[in-house]
Amino acid sequence: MPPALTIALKDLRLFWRDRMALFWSLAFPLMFGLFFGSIFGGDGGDRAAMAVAVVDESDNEGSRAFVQRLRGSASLEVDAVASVEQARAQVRKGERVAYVRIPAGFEDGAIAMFGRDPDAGGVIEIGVDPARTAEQGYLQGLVSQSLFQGLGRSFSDGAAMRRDLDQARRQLARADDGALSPARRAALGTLFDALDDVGRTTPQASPASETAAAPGFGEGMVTMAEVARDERGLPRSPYEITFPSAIVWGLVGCATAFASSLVRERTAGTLLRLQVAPIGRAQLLLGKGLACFFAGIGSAVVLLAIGVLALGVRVAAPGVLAAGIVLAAACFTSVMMIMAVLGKTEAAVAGGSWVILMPLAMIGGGMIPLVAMPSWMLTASTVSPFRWSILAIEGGIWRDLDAGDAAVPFAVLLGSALVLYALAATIYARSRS
Amino acid sequence: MASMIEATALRKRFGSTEAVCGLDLAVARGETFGLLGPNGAGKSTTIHMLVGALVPDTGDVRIDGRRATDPEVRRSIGIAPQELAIYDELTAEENLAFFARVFGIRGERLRERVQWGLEFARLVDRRRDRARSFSGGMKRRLNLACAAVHGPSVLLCDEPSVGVDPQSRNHLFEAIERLASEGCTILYTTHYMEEAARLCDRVGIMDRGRMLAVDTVDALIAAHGGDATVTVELASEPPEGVALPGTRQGRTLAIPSAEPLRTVAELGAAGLQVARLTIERPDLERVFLHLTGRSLRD
Repeated sequence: MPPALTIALKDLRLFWRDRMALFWSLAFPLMFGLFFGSIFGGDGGDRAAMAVAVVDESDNEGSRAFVQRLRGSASLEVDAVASVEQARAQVRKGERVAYVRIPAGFEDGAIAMFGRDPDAGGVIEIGVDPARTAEQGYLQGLVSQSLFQGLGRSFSDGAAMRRDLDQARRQLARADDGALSPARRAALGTLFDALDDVGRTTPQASPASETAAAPGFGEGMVTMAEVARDERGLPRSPYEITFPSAIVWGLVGCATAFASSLVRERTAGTLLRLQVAPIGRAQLLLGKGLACFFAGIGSAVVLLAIGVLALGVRVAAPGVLAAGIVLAAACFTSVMMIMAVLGKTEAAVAGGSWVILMPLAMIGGGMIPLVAMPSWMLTASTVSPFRWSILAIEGGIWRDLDAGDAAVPFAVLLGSALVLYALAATIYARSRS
Repeated sequence: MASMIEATALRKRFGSTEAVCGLDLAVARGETFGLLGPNGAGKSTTIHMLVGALVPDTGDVRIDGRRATDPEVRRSIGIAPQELAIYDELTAEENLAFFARVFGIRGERLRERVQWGLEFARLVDRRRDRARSFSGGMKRRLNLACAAVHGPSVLLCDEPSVGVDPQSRNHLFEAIERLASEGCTILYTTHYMEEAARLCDRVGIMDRGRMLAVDTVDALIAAHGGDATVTVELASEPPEGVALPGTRQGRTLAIPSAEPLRTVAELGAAGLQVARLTIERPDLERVFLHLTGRSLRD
């Protein structure tokens, strides 16, 4: 086993037994990712209304009443759009959760329930991403509820009910025998007559009373359309924004822990032993670097696994993500080496690490997500390894970058890692005096 | 005898302080050599230069005829620094295995050397305990075992007994004597003269970066320790007309003498009634006092 690897394994063992180091490189980043993810996602408070686009192609009294009832729902944020193509595009881009299309010929009230002409259309279409199963069912229920509220209005208003029934009888008469069996035609005629009797005994136009939707009863009146959302380049959850930052914080935690370890070796006298051993200074520094690098990779993998398995964080581009993590770990390893060779005492290294890294974190996206930064801050962030590390990792998680797109952050991280390592090795080699 | 450790005209300056000033040193193969001097004498700086951890401003160091930076030479050197140079969060076994590995020891020999180190440090029963749970004496023994685990032919011990209780100190001395009996060349720095007197074949007395004298303990004492002191407490007033040698305080006489037994015999022949008699031989403390004008512990 090469001496550098022997030193690295020893340092990893010490790292694993150091609770503070584990806290800063695993527990703290995880808390960071979870805390800010839940704040941005609103999990801790009231859930936001579902943004829905409505296309009213019918534009009649019934459809307008139906749209009005949808708007009245506290669970929906309804915006009218002009065309179904526009609505689909909004859903695809993630600007709306779903769309509701009210086709031409839509009838509200009892006619919507019983007198709907299959050939005439009039079936409401809900367009939603098939992956959003929870929203799909929820929205279907809300639409059905609004339809049944129209039905309730018919039953509570005798005149409106008789008007709907007359129209239903006309549509029944127009329906051909192929679409409607004689027995069903007779049964519907009997039903309409019975309802007509009910309508005659119903008072005129009482205030609209809400009728709860019976589960599944409105199913024939609504069809579902799948609109796969184009999520390329968009975060699907706040955790996809906070976890790349958390991973970088994990790398920082490893870097600060290992920066102190070289000074600790010096003060404890173990460095003298290692200097006497038949290993070069470059190997010694490499051993420290390898330990920091592998600890950083381990921290990133653990955080990523938690993000993916527990919080639904995607890995859009695994290759880019792997390369991003490796290069970010290499970059922060080199930052660690610079701090380690410059520091004379543990306190100086620990203090210096935070003095250097905190401003870089603040401007580099470690605290404010890059996507939420003002332009001046985004410009300033180019000097921070945080920015390039987060960009590289986000590239594999939600930005879905290909190798070409990721070339700039990769090149910056690799270049920084090499330059800083060379600088650290030079300083360390000259320190034997 | 060929020198195993040889330093010529070593100089090292830290800012305005000259830590080592033109030091010459030659330690024979298999010899245990003591560097005796107070804190700040330049002992540790000398050791750091001997092992190549510090670059001397001028001068030259050779270990077994070669430079200390030669990897083969390094493989033959072990060092027990003044600090407890072990990892508190590793077990005794892990510490020994790590230091053996960095010296290139692998496989079956690694297991043998780790076992040797545990027995040497008397920590076989505590092999899987982390070093932080050890007493000061156990840590010192482990510190020394880690220095010797790869079987070096040159061992440099920089004040290895600092802060150790008498029992553990004795264990350390036995361990060093064992290594010496196996042919290891040992350079041992201390400011305890009794350690130097017990362990070392020759002693170099250092002060303020300079080597003041080098020789065997007896030769140093003979050359620089001065006469023994015969102290006599008289039981009664001396007879009339007897001239008393030395200096008198009340009934106590202090008589410097190169031949103390002869002096005692002469006192008896003169008819003196002696209540108590002590002979104090010169020691390295006296040597140091003579050479520097101050005490080792100043």
